[in-house]
Amino acid sequence: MKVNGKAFVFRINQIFVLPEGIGPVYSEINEFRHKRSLVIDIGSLNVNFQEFTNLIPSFQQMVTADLGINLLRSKISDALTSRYGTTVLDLDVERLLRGDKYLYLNGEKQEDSKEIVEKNIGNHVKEIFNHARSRKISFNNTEVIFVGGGSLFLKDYILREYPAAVIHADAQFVNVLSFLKILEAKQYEKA
Amino acid sequence: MKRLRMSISFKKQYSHVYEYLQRQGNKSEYIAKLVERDMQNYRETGEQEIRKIVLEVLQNYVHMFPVSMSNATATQNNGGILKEDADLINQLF
Repeated sequence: MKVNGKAFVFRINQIFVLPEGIGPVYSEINEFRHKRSLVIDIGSLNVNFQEFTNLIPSFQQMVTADLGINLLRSKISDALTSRYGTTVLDLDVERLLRGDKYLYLNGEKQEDSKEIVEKNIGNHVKEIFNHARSRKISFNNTEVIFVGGGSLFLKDYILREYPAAVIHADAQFVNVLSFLKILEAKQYEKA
Repeated sequence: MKRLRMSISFKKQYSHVYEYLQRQGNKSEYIAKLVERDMQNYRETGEQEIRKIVLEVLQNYVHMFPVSMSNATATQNNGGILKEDADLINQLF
């Protein structure tokens, strides 16, 4: 594989199976040493819930839901397509979400489109929380940490639904940083 | 001066290296530079070996003593991992 024009060859010697949404639990290990926490990782395709108590993951509380950002994009494109009777592609929604959230058809701003978009985003976030609750995931006495690129995009809506939530500052890379810490532990074991 | 010629073949396990080399413009120049760099590294290896041994001894020395929580934070801030944490992680995964 090439990175910045430089060729790298990787040889995989060993594989570890780890929870996908691990958040900052091991990369910021001192913060979570004596704490109960719930990590919610919002990705493109799915959302992962993982509960930790004093650094120990509770695998009974490891849940995955097909509620990633791509699904939300499709929901919005369906809603706009059915409202305006013209095909609105996922790609159009992508652009619209990055902009002012209004749909422009033939150069004309569709005034009620923003409300449709925001309603769909709000409902999607509610669905994420409801999914967790329906799987008996508790939000009591727990620090709720959102990670993954999707959590940055949904930040305002998440905080509206759950004001105490923490959206991790390095949401996109924090899982990998914890994986790196686990790898360090594995290297330590070998040394 | 007589031209220095050489013909080399690759084992199957190095087919990825062979393919990568095929993509290089001037293969002779590329190989010559790589070998020269390796020769240079070889000269520096002795020093690196000593450094590695000293670091290993120091690491073992650190792990011989229990570390308090306040020290633990300091160690982690330096990018290291505590033995206790490493043990816990290894038990978990």
